[in-house]
Amino acid sequence: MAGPGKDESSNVKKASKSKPGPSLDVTSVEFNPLEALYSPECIIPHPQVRVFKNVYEYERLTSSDENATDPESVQDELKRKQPGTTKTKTGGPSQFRKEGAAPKGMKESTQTESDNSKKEFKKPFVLRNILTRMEKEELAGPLSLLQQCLMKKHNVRVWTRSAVNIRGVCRGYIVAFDKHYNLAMIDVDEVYKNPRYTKIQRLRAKKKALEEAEREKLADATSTLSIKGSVHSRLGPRVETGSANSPCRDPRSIKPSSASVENPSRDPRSVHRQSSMSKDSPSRDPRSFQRKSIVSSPSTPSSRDQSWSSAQQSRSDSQGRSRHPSGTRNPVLICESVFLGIHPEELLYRHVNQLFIRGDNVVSVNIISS
Amino acid sequence: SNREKFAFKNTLICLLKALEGQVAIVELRNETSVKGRITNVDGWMNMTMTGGTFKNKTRKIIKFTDFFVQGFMIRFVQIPDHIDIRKAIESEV
Repeated sequence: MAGPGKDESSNVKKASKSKPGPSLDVTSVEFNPLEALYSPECIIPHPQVRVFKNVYEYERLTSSDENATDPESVQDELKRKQPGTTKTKTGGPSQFRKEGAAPKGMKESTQTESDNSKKEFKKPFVLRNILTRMEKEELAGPLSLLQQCLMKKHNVRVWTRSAVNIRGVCRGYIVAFDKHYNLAMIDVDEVYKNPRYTKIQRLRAKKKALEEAEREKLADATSTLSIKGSVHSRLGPRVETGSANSPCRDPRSIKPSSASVENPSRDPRSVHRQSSMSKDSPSRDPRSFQRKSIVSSPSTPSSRDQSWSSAQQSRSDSQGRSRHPSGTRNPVLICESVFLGIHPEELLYRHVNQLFIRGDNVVSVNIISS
Repeated sequence: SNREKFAFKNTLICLLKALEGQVAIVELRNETSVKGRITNVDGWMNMTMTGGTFKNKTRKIIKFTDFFVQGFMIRFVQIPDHIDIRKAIESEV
């Protein structure tokens, strides 16, 4: 290769003095690309040209715009797409000199060019995560209400469900939510009831009810009506197996209230409640309960305490948790029990500072107007 | 998997992910609860816990060293007080 190489160099020398020879002229038939690459004097008809790594890349970019068959228009488009590349182009010969002398530099620039092109072909990257979804301004639909609860920090009532019943109500503030209605809540007061549906527990409940009925019959014989802090079985309303209930109903007709006058009038109501689940006749239950609350207000707290404590003792066997602080009436409990249409003594109450609720169990979310 | 990654970033599972290593009480749909240290949460909210006590429906306490809960069986998770919910979500995302 030494021979032709020497010839080329002599040619180059000659060419440098005068116009570029036919071997260096791009338009001529005798164009020698190898010589042109290494010669400084080769004149390129279009100096402002994008450098491709290979033929495939050129084809790929140009074939994307089939309309632009004109090489100049293609180059214009490519120029537009890569504004940064024009800086590297100074002139034909010097460019080639650069390429020969410092191939690494050119490689880097070509790489950045290709990266730039890739980036600009991509859509602008939009960050999407739970926080953006929560705080999206144009959130439409039911979730916008949840968003409002979050933004305005409304006190919110969340109804939770068990299999086919309503389990309870959570009252608190929503900190975070998502499309599944998973909720993160703060300062939660939960009022709930554990539904009992197993046979063994029902049988146990019946047994207890019978025992309590016997006890109360004894108690009736001795005590007066006003002081009668009677124990009522917790499971009464749920034991709804038709006629078998008749022995259970009797003790419940005497409700734990100090107003004896109310008792006879309450009998049909209590019976009615037992026959149907409380949610079927919500109108009755709150009324009966409200009546009781009005009536019992003038009553002495001591008698009530007695009734609560005795009730709790009886229930401590079945459940370790107490209903509510003994002796005090929790206003939240009362309020929610009215909502649920269930007697507050059958409800459990607890306070949780931070709670996560899985969306499956959410029935509805209501805003409590202050 | 991609679906899991999406779940982690776009739902409140990120909050549970931030609870990994913390002790929390998980209440299940069948009126049972588990108190233990959450070791792992996946995109379907399945949880593994260690050092747990399991409370039965009848309030009976059973101790387990390892516990696995299916995601859809979870009803509540009581988040410990020392964790700030907002910050936890931001750290995960």
